Amino acid sequence: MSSLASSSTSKNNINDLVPLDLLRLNLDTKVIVKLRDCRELRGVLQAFDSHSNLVLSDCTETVYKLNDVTDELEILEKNESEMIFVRGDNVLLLTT
Amino acid sequence: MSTAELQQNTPATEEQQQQQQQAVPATEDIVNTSLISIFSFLKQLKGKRVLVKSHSGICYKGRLESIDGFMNISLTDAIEYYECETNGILNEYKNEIFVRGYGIMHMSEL
Repeated sequence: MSSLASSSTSKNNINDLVPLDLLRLNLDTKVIVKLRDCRELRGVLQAFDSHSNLVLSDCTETVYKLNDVTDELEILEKNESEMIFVRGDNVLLLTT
Repeated sequence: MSTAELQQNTPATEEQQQQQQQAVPATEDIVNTSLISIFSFLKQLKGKRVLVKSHSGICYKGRLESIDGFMNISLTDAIEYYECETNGILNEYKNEIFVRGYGIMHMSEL
């Protein structure tokens, strides 16, 4: 498993890329991270590892809540932080 | 060997130890009779349109770009919806997305 999961460092063929290479390619760019419990982070990806633990800088956290009456998503709170560590088990999805 | 013998604290002779080892089936003897390997199934999905469902009920449809041993996947041209596409599309991702393997329940070709 470890050999399959390891991020490719010496692979030249683009077809050999693994999903974690997407994180590597997106280092130092602005990313959107979806987390558990209707949370979303937007910030610059500074670091990651194989557990998809992340470090983001200039980060905005948005917490959404479903309004039971209108059936629409509304923003519950918004937090900003200069540097944030995200534990990998909360991560659902990452995109640019 | 009987259990009574095992319970005795007397050190077993070499012969007894050998018998004990033979009684336990070696793990190499247990043959995996799967017709295809799981990882080769997942690898042959690469480049195809797939439907991925996560534990939370959110589904993703998109082109599978890559997959690794954690079942982390990356998708392009992905759409996101809850449980059923008729519930409305929540998101359309123009860029490639990374989905963490831990949350994935199942994955199939479209």
